[in-house]
Amino acid sequence: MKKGINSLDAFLAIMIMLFIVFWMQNFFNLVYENAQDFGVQVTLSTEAMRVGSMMNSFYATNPSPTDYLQLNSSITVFGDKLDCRVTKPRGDANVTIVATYKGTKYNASYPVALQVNYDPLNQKVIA
Amino acid sequence: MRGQLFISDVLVSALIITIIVGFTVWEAEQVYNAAPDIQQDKINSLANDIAQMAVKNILANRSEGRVLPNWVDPARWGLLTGNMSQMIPLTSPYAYSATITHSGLSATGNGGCGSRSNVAVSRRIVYINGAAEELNIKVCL
Repeated sequence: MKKGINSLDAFLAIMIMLFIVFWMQNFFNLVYENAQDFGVQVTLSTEAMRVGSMMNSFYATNPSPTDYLQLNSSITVFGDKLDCRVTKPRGDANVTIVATYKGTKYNASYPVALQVNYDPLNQKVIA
Repeated sequence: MRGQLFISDVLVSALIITIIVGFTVWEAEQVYNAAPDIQQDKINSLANDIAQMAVKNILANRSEGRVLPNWVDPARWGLLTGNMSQMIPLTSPYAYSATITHSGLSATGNGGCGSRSNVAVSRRIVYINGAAEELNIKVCL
């Protein structure tokens, strides 16, 4: 029986260590990816709530035809700037935020008064 | 001692690995526990938005081109229920109810909030024909 680094014991120990290290790496990576995915979704939901609530509050002020509310729809997720698109088609009582983060498309929506109009080109909410 | 499983080195390393894995799982659980909080925040926000829009705009009495916030025109009740049914359609997981006490004005959507567990309530004092009453908006999941 050989002893030292070329022994069967050492080989087995290294194999077991490698297995544990790779398993842990895979496990932590999986947890990180799931948390990141969930975090982006939660951030978008919160952003949709914020934007939708602003639109509803604007409508509650009885705006005149010349009044408008300026939106800024860029939000930051995990240090990366996430450019998102706000949509609120006429006749739809929902504002939807769509964003792409690391190749995956996410969206979140929030109910908004039907009478609210949104100009996506200028990011303006108009009466 | 060599060749033994229950030595202190193994115990310490097993303990450290258990702490690291346990902490990671706990962190992940903390993240997922945020989901119900977000849903509750959403229905709270929605109930407040609807109540605010109702008293300041949708139900507000109009007199000579002026809007009178908090003074409710009962004839505009249909506008509020129409708006609510658009915002919370039949396909939505949410349900709602809107009532003004004593005046007999009430509406429910998607079965109302009677059997739902997560309920958000928003109340506003409004005036109908000079009398103060309570507008009660409930949104539930």
